[in-house]
Amino acid sequence: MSTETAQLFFSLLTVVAGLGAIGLIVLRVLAGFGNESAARFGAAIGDAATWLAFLVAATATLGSLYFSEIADFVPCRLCWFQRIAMYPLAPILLVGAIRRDPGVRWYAAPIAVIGAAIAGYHTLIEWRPELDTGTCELTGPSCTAFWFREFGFITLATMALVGFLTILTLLFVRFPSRLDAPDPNDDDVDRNELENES
Amino acid sequence: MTPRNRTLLIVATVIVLVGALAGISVLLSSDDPGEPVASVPEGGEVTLPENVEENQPVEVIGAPLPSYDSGAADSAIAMPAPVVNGASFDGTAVSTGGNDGRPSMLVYLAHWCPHCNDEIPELIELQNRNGIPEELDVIGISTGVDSNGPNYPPSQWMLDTGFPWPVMADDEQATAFLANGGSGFPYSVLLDGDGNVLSRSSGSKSAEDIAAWIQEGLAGAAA
Repeated sequence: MSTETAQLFFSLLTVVAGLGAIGLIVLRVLAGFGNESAARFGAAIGDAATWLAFLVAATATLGSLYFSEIADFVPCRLCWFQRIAMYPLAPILLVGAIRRDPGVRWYAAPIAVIGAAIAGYHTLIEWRPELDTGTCELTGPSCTAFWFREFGFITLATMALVGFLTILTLLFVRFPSRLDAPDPNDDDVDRNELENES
Repeated sequence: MTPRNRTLLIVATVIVLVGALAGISVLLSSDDPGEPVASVPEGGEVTLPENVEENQPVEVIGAPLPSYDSGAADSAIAMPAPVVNGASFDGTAVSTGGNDGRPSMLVYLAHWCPHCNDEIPELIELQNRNGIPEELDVIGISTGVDSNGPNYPPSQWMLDTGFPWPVMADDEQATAFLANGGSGFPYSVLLDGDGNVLSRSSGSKSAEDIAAWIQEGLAGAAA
């Protein structure tokens, strides 16, 4: 796979992940207005949410390693901070998915929020470089410089931002299996309430 | 369908979708290598002479300048810059500093740095517009060489960019860069005819901003 192909591939994945996250939020809003189909479809996705979040984190990790180790795109300082946030999310979410632990979101969320904040700032200074120094240091490239901008807007920082936000959306947009019933997957739900219902 | 089977189906669907996107990417992308932003600015492809070295030994005579900090008043103004004796990629002697009576502008550039790649066309445009005073000697210094970085080797990079001025190849420790107080690329130092610092600047600038910076610095020397 050439670098150009990899750029296109990961950019397409970013677009699909972003649209998927937006679609999930739209589904939740429709479910909130009483749309049963949206609620059922959303609940089905919700069952797989931790696995899907793991796939996003694992793909982002592999993509990040590809660009630095194979394509030789030297990571800047902010890229490293985002890597620090993204890399542990993959094993954390994998363990959470295997154990079917709905509480995993509370361990993953702080890391994903910090990563999203850094990626958001990184994306901002790519568009407004005057907010940063505009120089490269001896040890690596400037954070305002980007290696590519696919479709006119997708850079590595944008990919990271969409990745973190998609993970957060998957973990926190919850669909009750019935609109008037508590979500059995929700770790905040009183277990006695669920037992009484059944 | 049980929730477990449903989860399996959804995850499998996503994996198939990822595979499909990989196929689409292969089909849509050409065989050409990617064009990173840190690519060489447009210029004629020039063949590299034989027996070139990407780093050359550097000798520093005199005290180094304090490290440049763009956020503070520059304490190096009016200080004598050290004389740096080095060589170009092909071994031709190149020196910076000293009192040869002509002002000079030292431009420190790294081949892998996107901001340096932005700076070179601006400098060339300024030269083409006769925006660089005739009495000003411009000397490029290739520093921060990284054999894993884009546009390596810098000897070829400098030729490809069409950089029209003499170039010194800094050593592996970036001695020439550090001796003049460099902290980030692109980095420019304006010296008067006696080798004293008129102005220093870091970060990429437009041709207009470079012209204004030179004018202001040289006006300070004349005052």
